[in-house]
Amino acid sequence: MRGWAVLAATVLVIACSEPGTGGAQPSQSVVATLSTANNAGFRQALAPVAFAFPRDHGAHPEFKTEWWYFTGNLSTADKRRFGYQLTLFRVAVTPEPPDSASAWATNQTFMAHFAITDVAGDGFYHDERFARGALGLAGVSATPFSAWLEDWRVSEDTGTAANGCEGCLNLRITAGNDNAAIALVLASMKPVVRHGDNGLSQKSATAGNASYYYSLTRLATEGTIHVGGQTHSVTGHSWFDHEWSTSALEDDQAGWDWFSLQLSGQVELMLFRLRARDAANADFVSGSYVAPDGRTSRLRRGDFAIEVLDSWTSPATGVAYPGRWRIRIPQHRLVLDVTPRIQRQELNAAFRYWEGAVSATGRQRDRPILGEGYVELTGYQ
Amino acid sequence: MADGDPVIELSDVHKIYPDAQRERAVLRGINATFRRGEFVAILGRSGSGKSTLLNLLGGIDLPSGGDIRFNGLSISKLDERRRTLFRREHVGFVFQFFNLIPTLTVFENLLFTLDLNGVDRARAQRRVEELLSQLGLSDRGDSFPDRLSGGEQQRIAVARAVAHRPSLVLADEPTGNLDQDTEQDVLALLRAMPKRDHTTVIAATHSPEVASCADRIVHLQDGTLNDANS
Amino acid sequence: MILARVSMRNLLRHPWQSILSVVGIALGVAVVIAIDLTNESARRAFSLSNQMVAGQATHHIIGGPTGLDETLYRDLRVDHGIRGMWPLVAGWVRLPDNDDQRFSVIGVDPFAQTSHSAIHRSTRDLSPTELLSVNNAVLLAQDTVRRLGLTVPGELRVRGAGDLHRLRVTASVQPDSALEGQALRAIVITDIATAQVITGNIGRLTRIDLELDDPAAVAKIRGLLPPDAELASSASRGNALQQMTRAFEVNLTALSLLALVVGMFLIYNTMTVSVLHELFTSVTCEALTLGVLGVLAGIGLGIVLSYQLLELVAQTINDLYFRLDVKQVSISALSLAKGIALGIGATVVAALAPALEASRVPPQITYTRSGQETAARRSVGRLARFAIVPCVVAAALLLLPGGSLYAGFAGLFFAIFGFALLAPALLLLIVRITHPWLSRALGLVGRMAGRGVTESLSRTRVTVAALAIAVSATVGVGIMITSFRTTVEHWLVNYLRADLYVSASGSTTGVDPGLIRRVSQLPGVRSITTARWTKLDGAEGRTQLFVLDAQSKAFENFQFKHGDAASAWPRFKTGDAVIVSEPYAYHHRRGVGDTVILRTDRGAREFDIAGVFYDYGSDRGVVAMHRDTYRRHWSDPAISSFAVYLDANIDVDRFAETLQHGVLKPTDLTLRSNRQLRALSMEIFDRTFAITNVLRVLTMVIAVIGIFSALMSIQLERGREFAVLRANGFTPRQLWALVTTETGLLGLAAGVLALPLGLFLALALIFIINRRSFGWTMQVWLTPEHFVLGLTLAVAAGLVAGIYPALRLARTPPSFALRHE
Repeated sequence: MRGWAVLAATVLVIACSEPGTGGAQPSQSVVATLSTANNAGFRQALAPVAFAFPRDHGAHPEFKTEWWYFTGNLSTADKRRFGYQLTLFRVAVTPEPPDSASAWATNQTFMAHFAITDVAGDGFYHDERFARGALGLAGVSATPFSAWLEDWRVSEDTGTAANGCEGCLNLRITAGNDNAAIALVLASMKPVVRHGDNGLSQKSATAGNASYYYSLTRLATEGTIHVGGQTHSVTGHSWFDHEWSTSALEDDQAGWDWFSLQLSGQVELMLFRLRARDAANADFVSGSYVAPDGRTSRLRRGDFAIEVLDSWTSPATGVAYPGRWRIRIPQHRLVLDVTPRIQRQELNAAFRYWEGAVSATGRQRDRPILGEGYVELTGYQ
Repeated sequence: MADGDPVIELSDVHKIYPDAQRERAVLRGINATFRRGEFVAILGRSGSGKSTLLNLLGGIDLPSGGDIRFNGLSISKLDERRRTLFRREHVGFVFQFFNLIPTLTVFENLLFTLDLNGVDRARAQRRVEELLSQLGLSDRGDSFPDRLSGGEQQRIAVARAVAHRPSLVLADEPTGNLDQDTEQDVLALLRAMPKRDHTTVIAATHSPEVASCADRIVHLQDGTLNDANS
Repeated sequence: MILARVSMRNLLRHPWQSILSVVGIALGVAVVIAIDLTNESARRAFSLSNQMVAGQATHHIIGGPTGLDETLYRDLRVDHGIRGMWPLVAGWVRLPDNDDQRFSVIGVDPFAQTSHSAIHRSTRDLSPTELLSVNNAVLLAQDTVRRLGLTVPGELRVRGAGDLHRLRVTASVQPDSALEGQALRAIVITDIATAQVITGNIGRLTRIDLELDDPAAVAKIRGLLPPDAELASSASRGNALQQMTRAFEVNLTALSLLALVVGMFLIYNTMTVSVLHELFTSVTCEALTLGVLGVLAGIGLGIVLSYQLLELVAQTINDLYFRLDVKQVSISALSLAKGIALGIGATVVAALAPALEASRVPPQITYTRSGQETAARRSVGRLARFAIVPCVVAAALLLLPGGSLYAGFAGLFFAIFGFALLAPALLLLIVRITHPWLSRALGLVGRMAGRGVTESLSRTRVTVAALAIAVSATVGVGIMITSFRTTVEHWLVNYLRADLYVSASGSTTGVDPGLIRRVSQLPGVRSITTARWTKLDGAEGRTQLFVLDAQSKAFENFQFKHGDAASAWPRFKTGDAVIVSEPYAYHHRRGVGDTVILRTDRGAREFDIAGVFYDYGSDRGVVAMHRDTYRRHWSDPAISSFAVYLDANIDVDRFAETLQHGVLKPTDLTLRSNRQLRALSMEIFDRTFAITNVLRVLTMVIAVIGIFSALMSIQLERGREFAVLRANGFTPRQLWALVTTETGLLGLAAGVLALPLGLFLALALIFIINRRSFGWTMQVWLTPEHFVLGLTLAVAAGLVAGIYPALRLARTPPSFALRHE
């Protein structure tokens, strides 16, 4: 889901940013270049397809955009909490690769975002990188799985046997810079979850305005986090999203709120809401409820409600974001209050959005329930 | 030609200098006759036009009006070259300053006019030696003018003026730069040397000493010439 | 203030003199400023074009003759996480639709744009969709788009790497400054992939630029580099390239200073006239007034002149050193300040002697010309004795072994100074010698002329010295150029022994080995030798490498300075030995038995020097290597040119025509006969000295103005003396003869004095300056024409300078001068 932001961001960044000097603000003209008119020649997500793994962990270059999204909540033995995010975005600038003898020639461009949240230190570190998908500078391969941009890399740990579940992977992640870095080992605990209609995730009523979208909702994670000159040994859980598509936002969609939550009792929840620019139009909502055994039920309009309880204004950009939420899913008799671990988790990069580690408390069937996860907020001004 | 014959005659000679603002008439109708062998002193204040008159007489300058005739020949109608040749042959000059040519020795200075007049080398040298001995400066022939005293220089100048035996010697304040003793020496020369060849001497001066040597004194005043005797 | 007014009045009293002094100083300053601006502009253009690409790069990773393997960049980024670096592919193409103009191609990776360089900034004007989606998308400077008559978007056809490419101009760059615009004028900016294709660099990078701030990072990267790559700091690399043109620039600067020195004599002269009337401070004040006026005029003139000179200098740099696109003079405040300081300084120094003289001698003497002349005559012997000092200094600077180029030029200037001190004595001598002859030929006039010269010694000595120096410079430089030219001509005859030369210079591709094979099979071809010209960049600079597969016969074309062909050949062919050119040996202080260190594909390696050969092709020097040796150490099969030796009975012209219209037809290789190549070499040689000749002429012009001013003042001052002459029957014609005889005599004296000095300058230039600049040995070729020309110039200058005063004096009625008693 998070991809529309990315689509805009990649193009923007390549066009106007000076990395390291702070980001340029998104310009409408550049966003305009992403209109559906540019999608000619690309495949679109029109109907459900049968995913096959490990093949579909890899890239789908015939679609315009694609991303591999890793987030996780981790903590040290003495309960010092951290969050991390590593995302690799792919954007194809043309449907066909160019005909050139140069190894640098390609139609594939990549951007990566990296962030660490240091809850105890109230610290938030983020960085971004760009590369062309050529010469091995950035790319994704399916067997063994590997996704990288320069030395930021997620790769299949072929030395350990993965859980036999569908699409399950053991992974190593290394990313970061001199100030903040991660080196983690991930192991799938549950099989892939296909969102929407068997993996076809509709973004609006328009046909083709959809993506193919699956997740590994729970990966046991351990490793080290380096921040503030110190290295911490951590354990916890990660979430992996993989989504590819071609079409962009509807004109009247302003942005979205997206939730990935891992709840006690081996339950996971994914929800998103595409906010209508005009209050008269309805928001477009969807979600998945993943039971402990991995069975997934689809959540549609009317199945859940998200209530904003609080707001937070970024001191850096002056943008006001929702600050706390109450989520109700009546059919699962679930009420959750979702709170950012810390408020300051805004990525003020070439493209500005809020993506942060959250905790959740609530009740399900009158029993207390706890959770943690990531929330992404885009399109706030 | 005998003494007393007119050598040079001026009739209604005018000289006007075109000055920046207006014309300045220096000479306004001069009529005069200078005769062979006479020594005439022209007296007048500074700026009265004495030098101008001498320049006209010597053909160095041309009158703005009137006529100047030398032995009947109108010199104001001659071209530059002919006037130069006229000067070379018939006129000797004695100026107050800068008489001698600094790049020539005393001997060569005396030889100068003779040389210009094409006198042959042997005769010219004899004449120069004669002049030097008359001056009592025979031993200074090889000196350059700047090695000589002012009086010596001026005596040489007089000798040079008469060396080629001109008809006319024009002297412009010839003793103006000299002390009294020296002035007498130079005056004596100026009186004596031309006489030998019956040369007319016209000296512009405001010195009474010079005037006292003259056969005739004329006054130049307000651009006209008045005979002192009349 | 009063002093200033007095000075002003004095200057106005001799307006001609003052005006000519101002003109002289102005010209001198103009030449100095123009040369400095020109040098500075070339330097600026060079560093700007460097910087425009490299941005804030502190280091470069450079490779061998064919650059770097592109995977090195990937390895550094992906495997070692090195950031703050950006790859570059540079090359060039020709524009067939625009007179086959040559354009540089700069290929960058906009994704790596951590650089803030102009080129990288400009790529942001390309939308990424266009950059990667539009095939062959390129950027041009706005002015370039206009100049080439293109549109945006539009098509630009280029010929590169032997193919025709259709490029898509998708955007134009608006340069930040005029200088940047100049640097961008003939540059195509594009994506690295496109650049690789159109410049024929598939798989290769020209270099990788880095921004490294700590020594640890430098050490780390050094440790990661393969043997064929090297990390060099941009500063040292830029310096090394600029070093190449340093000697050339120093030579130009020295010549321009000579012009100023000649200008100084003018001020000196004017001030000597002034001394007659005044005292130290007012002399200085007057000199400063003239100096300031001259300098002001000189600045304007210098800027105008620099535009004229820039083209000549740029041409030479392009012919001899490296490609430099410079059309714009960058007016640097520093250059102007230097010119101003030199101009004022020269004025003050020139005025110092007369001013001191004014302060030292009793006033009544100062106030008279004769007093001045007496002092001048008395000083002749003193000056001549004092001349020993600068002469000894000059000898030390010129002859002491190991002296620098600067020391060499300083020595020349000391020698000239010593000569100026000797000039009065020599002048008197010449007058004494000519006097009897003149007086016999011209009588009184002749005698007066000779004495006139000595009588006004205080003026004439300076005039004669200035003119003699200018003429000697003309003679000396002339002899040097002739000697150089003749040496090069003789060398070329020996060096170019093949009948035909086929070269890829001017071609966007090398020579195809298959083509050489085909040519070698043509009937009448006796043998073929191939050559590869390449540059090896290292931290210590750039080495020109000349790789040839000569047979032992062709090897004998080299003329050895040290070593000999017979003993060098076996080591050259099989023993990994090289031979180096004379300038190389000179600059690097190497000889036979030493080694040169070259960076091979497997790292730095020492090569024995088996011989030092004469070569006038490159003033930085060349290392020549056998192709077998080269191929053992470098994996670069490229060939730049080949030479064809024909059987004796073959008609060379006819064969050339067949070759041109046959085998060479489909290529863009250049075919030249032995004769054409020799003519071309000489053409380039002459172009190189064009600027020298311009400076020579300018110095002469200043000297003529000087002599004109000085002689005029001398003659005009003697108005009364001449009036006495005229009164006593000197005709205008006689006066004219007197004046021109006198000035002609001065000219002749200057000319006569200039000849030995000119010869001395020529020898110093050939044996000291040129050696220290370039390391060349050349034979001295003395031909009479330079001496005759120098003498004629000097006499003509004297006569010309006499004509005006003579005419004026002759026209002035003597009464005018006499009236102003």
